[in-house]
Amino acid sequence: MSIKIENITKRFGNYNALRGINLEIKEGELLTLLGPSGCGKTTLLRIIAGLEIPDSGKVILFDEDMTSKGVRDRNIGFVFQHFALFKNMTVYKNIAFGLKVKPKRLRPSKSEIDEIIKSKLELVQLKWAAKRYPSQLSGGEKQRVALARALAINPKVLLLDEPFGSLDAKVRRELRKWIRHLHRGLGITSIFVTHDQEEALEVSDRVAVMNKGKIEQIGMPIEVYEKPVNSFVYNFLGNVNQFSFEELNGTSSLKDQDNVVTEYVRSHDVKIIKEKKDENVIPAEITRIYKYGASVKIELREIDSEKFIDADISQEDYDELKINEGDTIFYYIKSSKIF
Amino acid sequence: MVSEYKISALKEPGYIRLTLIITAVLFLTIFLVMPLVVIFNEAFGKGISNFFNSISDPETITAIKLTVFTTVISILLNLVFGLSAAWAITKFDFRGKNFILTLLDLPLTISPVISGMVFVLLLGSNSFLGSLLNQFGIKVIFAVPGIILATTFVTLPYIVRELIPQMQEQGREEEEVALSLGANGWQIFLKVTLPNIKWGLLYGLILCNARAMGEFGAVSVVSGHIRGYTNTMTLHIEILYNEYNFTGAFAVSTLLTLLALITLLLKTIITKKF
Repeated sequence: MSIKIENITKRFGNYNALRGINLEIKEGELLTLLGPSGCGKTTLLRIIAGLEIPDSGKVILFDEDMTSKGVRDRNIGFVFQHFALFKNMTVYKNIAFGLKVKPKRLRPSKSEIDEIIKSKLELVQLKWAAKRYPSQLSGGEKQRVALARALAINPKVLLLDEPFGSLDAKVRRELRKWIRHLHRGLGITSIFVTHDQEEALEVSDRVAVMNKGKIEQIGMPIEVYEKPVNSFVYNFLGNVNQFSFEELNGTSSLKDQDNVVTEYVRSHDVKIIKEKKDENVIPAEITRIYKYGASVKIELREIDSEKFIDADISQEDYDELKINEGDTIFYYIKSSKIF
Repeated sequence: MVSEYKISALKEPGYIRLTLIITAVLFLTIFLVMPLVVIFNEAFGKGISNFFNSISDPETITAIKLTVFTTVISILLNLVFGLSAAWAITKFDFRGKNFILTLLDLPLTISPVISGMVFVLLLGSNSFLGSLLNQFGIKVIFAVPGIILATTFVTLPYIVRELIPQMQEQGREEEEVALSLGANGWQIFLKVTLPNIKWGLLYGLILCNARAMGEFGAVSVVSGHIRGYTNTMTLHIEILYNEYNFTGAFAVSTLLTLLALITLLLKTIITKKF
């Protein structure tokens, strides 16, 4: 086990940032900490890095208890959301920094340093930028420099704190693919923090979904997506409509009357028809239609309750239905989930 | 191409512009230009040789030397103090941070005369500390150490106050990256933090320098006005003036004024570099 987190807690004043985190990360694995802002994912990452000290619990890196050790002793590479490149240094010097600050007996020779930097620049495809300053690079390029700089010290663990968070959507998608391939090639144990479900599902070997300082579920991307353990995970990983049990079944909850049972319906499980086929369909008005990816997204407003519902339908279904914004249609629910 | 139409749309009516310009020019003339003219006129009015005689007077020269010496020492002290205080306040979290920030403004908010009085009460020969130091033959009040102490106290906020907002804005990420790359505190400070704040630091130093050279109130209380020994330039000007030696007083004043003008010039250059 390359990283082992045991019962980590952390408070900031009255705020419980982390409430008993246990986590194990296998060697060579890319694990994502996924959750909404304020769920504690960045705090956990900073504790693993040694930039933050936990109130209790242990951080074990490669079978060595590192809880009381400083950042410098942990041999980790850390990549920040806002790149944190040294503005006054060229790309070359940025990457060289970690090697040049080593104590003399550990420092590689000048030519060795030069070789390492060249190989890292090649790895991040920025050979041409060696003499540039950070201000002359685009966001995506800057983040690749930051990554090269982190990798130059040959870290045992790579920690990435929302590395693509400040980039535009297109660059994000490109870098996502790229980092996935890079990780495969290097095989370095990595933890990736993000609030973007799509990003998490795409890049990770395993995903840990976090909420309010706790880990809700850990598993392979497909597991957490298809077998969410609770409503939070289900809700967080994709578009979802919420209905009270009563709304869908006409009667209140099966067991006890006080508890409102919520049913969750994925937007692709909402079906649209033009004719009223039976009593189970609900009339609604189409308020918005737009195309995204392979599906057509439709926003509905129930005629009776003014409730908004999101539906995803395939292009073929859309072409067949011939619907427009403002039309009144009927919808029904193919499947729903209760936790 | 900017059309005529656009230009007139961006401008205020003529009479408003004229009033504003006249007000600004009048204000500048009365409060800045005229005093400057008077100073230079008084200093050079009785001929250039008179001016040089005044400033080469041995007592004047000791006063200049003392001012320069005091300024250099207090700038150095404030440089070390200012950097460490700003570094501690912006890069670390600890209790009592706001209290320290408030305390840093104290020298700006209390009258310099009172600052001087505080040192006299604290370190004067009648005080416990003062008599203790006297036993070791160290005299602080009515001596050079007191002048340095008072000047340093009065100029204390200038460098820190310049650095804190700048360092706060820059955040800690660069330092944290450097730390994760294995750099020690000293390396981080020299290679990462210092290059990022160099212009702000220089700006603070210039302000501190100007204030230190011009300090009067606090120094006046602790110096004792011993001619040729504890007289700084500002105190010397007062003495010359009170003795009706106007040429002398204004000649020394020109030196301080020139310093102010040089400071302004440097300040402008640095502000552009920011």
